[in-house]
Amino acid sequence: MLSFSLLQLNGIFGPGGGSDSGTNPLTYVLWFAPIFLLMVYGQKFQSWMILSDVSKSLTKLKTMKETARNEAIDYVKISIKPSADPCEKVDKFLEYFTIMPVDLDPNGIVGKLDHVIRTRDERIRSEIKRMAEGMTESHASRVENILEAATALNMIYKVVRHFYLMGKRTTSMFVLVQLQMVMPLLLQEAEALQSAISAFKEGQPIGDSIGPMIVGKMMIGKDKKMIARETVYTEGEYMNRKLYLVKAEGPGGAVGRPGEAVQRLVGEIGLKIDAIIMIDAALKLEGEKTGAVAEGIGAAIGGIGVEKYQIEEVATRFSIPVYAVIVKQSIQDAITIMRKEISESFDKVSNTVFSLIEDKTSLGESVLIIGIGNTLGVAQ
Amino acid sequence: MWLFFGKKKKKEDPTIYTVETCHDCGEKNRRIFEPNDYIYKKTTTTCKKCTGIVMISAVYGEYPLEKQKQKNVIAV
Repeated sequence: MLSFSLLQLNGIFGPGGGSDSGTNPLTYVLWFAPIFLLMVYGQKFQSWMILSDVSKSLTKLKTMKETARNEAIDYVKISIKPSADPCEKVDKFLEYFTIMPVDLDPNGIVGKLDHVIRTRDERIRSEIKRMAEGMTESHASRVENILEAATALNMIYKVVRHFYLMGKRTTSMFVLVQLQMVMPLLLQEAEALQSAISAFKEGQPIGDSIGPMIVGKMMIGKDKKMIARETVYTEGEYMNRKLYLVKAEGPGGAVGRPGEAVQRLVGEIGLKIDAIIMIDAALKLEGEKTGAVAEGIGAAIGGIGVEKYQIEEVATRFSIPVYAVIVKQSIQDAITIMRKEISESFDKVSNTVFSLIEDKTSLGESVLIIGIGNTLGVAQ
Repeated sequence: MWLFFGKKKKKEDPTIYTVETCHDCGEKNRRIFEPNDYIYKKTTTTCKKCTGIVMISAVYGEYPLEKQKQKNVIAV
């Protein structure tokens, strides 16, 4: 049966199978029709395939966005027991936006940026506190972190949906291909944000908390003073050197204002600092090991740039060298529960900081050590 | 069918541990994370070895495939 049908097919397609196979017009049609069809409609087929691929990812993003919103609402309902239904307020937060100042200004925009960011932070914090009477700072900062993650997910979803619909409407291959190319990275980021929400809810330390974790240990048992909003500092001593330790106040999810703290300590209070050591989590390159420790020069701090500017400005004005100790991790590791490898880098980071103090300062000198990052789940 | 669509990667959640360390003798004890645990929290329990004050020294997540993944990482 099989050999019979093969013989018949050979008669149609084969080069020498049949007596008139070389001249059979059906052969030409069957060979050239698909080529012609793909030449004309090939791009359309490709567009359909990309659209279906992006559509699947968009559905995933929508589910993640909805889950994040529901988790935020549930957390607010269960933990802080608001007087009114929080759904409307949470939805309002998800759509909240910040307009960045104009960058054409020759006088510098850092001051304006600082002002805009402070206003935003204070507005969000006061809105959260208005949800329930007597909410603790720790709970307010957790809600703030959860809402930030949910807002980021909402934004990713809306931007992807925008380009998806635009690509679909215009059937533009260029828009669709670009979207398809960045989609795995966006999904990875969205998954990390979703995992971050559960860490925020439970108050578990995240990868970014390694800086505050190191400084927090040095602060144990010492008298802590507030130096800026959600930022504490203590004084200590190590091998006849005076230590000034700064970190965000934990165990709530705060990053504090280390820039402002440095400006106050050095600029306003007038402490004589001989070296600044900053400890922070830093993005690793693919192939690098999570939790690897490296040291360098410069202000190790992320964010929008205001805090970095403030620290650099003080360091330059008073000629203070700034040393950085970083713990390498991916963006996913930085916002999700602290991985074992990062936690295990604790001793290595501490030893690096202490050897820096011994090498770069002399007896009787002062060192300012700053633990940069979100102090969620890390006290002092 | 798996030739066309590939195998679906199963996403595994990490197990979250809390490490308690004795302030006096340094004895470490690892247990599963409980709500309200945070790093440098003084616990109510005392050290089994020397009855010293026990403090939470670390909270971290351990992924099930961590050991296998570590072998594949190119050390730099």
